[in-house]
Amino acid sequence: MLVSVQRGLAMTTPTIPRPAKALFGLLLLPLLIGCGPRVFENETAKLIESSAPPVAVEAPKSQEPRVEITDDKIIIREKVQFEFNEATIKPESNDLLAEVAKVMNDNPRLKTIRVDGHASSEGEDAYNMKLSEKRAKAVMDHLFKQGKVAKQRLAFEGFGETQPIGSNDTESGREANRRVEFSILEQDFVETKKIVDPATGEAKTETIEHKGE
Amino acid sequence: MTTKITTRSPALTLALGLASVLGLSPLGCAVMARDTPTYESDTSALLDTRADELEACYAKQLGFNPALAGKLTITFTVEKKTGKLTQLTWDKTRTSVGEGLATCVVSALEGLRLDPIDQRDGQATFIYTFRASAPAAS
Repeated sequence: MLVSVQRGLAMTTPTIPRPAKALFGLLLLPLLIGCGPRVFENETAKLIESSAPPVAVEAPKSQEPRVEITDDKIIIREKVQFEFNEATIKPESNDLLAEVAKVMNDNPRLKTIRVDGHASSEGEDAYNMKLSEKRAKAVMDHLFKQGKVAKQRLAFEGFGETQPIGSNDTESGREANRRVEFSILEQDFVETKKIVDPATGEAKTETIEHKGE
Repeated sequence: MTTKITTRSPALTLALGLASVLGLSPLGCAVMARDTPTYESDTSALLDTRADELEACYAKQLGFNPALAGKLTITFTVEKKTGKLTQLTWDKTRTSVGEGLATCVVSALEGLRLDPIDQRDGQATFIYTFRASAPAAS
């Protein structure tokens, strides 16, 4: 193998005039250090004052809480609203999701909660499956980012139109089928058993602690 | 196989270097370059464009709790490429108002965009104080 090294104009050490070096350095400086982020925190808090007397909020029609924990679900008595055909949560659902997040944060015994997305039968199966999955994920992200629920406690799954709770032949049924649910996958709980001895009639209470079941 | 290695003259190297720096500079940092106070002030003004929405959030929450008052700390990044507010969230450890108000505020601020954009990202923290206005003197 032949390697030929051809030198160009000069073999001597290149000399660059000092002012040129300085200019080069100055021009290069912004590229090297000039584009880091600006970090700032405002020193004076922004003041938001209510200019009108508080709007009276209608008392709930029933005493049932809007968000409730059952054995295996967190039940919501309102729907999470989405933009039509999208996975964008409408702002009017923020309060509801804040309540859901509060329930989750107030109950650390609920170890893993899955957000389940469901759709009506309108449209293609595959599309509905994808949309329900995206919506479930949007709710999970919202609970994590806005509700400050620990990410490791959250999961999501889209079920498309496979688990209807209403008839897909009516609009009210389809509306019911488009929904988000919260399933408790793992939780700590205490099981209490009352055992009566048939011979003596003596009752005994036994408690069993279940961890993450 | 023959390999040729050609060495450029120093003058040519310098000329090419200067040309590339001058050429790259506009791409890297030639958009608006705010200093920190200006960046903060411009961002603050941008947030103020949503003051009405924030007041509405507060008014709504006052309906649930007429005594509601306190602080809310929000953090976000102003993206240099687009001016968009990204990673917008609220700091639970530095907030005394409830989640309902916090999420309403964060949602109301979504979609804001700094114009003109800046050559740098901005990592911002803003604190809101919510308080009910004193009743007018009779």
